[in-house]
Amino acid sequence: MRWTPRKAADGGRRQRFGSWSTRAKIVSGIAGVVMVGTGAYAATNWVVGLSGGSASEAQSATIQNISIAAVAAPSATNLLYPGGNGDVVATITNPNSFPVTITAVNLPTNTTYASGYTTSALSTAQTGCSSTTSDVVWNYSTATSGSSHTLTTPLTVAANGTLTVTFTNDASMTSSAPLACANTFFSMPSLTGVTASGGAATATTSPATDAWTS
Amino acid sequence: MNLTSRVIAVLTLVVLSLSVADVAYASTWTVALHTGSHGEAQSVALLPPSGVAAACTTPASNQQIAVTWGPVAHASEFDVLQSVNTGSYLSVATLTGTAWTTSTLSKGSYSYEVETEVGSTWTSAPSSPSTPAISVTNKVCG
Repeated sequence: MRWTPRKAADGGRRQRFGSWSTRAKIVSGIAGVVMVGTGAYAATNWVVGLSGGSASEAQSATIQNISIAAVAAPSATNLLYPGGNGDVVATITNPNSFPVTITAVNLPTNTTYASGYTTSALSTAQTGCSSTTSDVVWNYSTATSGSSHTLTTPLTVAANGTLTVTFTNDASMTSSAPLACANTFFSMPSLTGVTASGGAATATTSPATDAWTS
Repeated sequence: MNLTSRVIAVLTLVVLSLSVADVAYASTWTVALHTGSHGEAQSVALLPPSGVAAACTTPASNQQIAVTWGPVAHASEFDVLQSVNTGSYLSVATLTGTAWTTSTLSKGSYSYEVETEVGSTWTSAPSSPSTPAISVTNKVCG
């Protein structure tokens, strides 16, 4: 946009922007800024489905799925038993170039069972203790898939980093779990999502301990 | 550019920078997880109690035997098994504590094992038997 200064009636102390007044310029500038800002904000507030585990690719090229993987170390302190709760240990990987802070997890239903294995490598199935029989579920899960559960302390995973965390007593075994599930390692059911925000936060020191308690 | 234009330009750049930063930092959303995102848990090993012991109560004329054993984490109950004259071990009591006393016994040689129960479905293997066997003879224990 080209503008031509011209003298005003006050002898040239003020200038005018061609055919646009200063007020119009300012208003249009602010409007433009607001529009850009709104667009940027709208682009970051999205809810993503989980089909195929790659739903975010269609939403944004810059925000990638995070991963949560089973890990054997550190070993759980609280172990499962019929009618009791146990720890879950996991490693969270953030492939994004900015820190991600997780504030809540979304759980599968309370009838989605863990699979049992003979060792912490989770490679050999435990006979009689499968995902149809184990009676091991996420603690506080409900009949509805995707129920959200707030972490006691938010977890911040560094940019392009990993964080190992023990979720204290967030696995549960019913009192009628089969004997075959004794002395067994469990691959917990997949989470359906997490609630997180991107931000310049200090990364949580690994290994960490956290939990949801309701 | 005059002063007003410069002010507008600077403000625009500042707000635009904030907006760009907003994309990466200021929002909250539900993040997708890779399929199979989970964790690992572990269950306890089901162990029988250790230190199972049997001894006559006093006075010996009561013809009773006290059986004791060590605690087991998470145990909900214990099964006491009794063998008479080296016969098969049969359940004679189920209780939550770590001690049990027989009723008046008839003549014979007695030994005991204990099993751990956790919940409604887990029962451990029997413990090692109490030794030595306790004899009840002539209405006296031991």
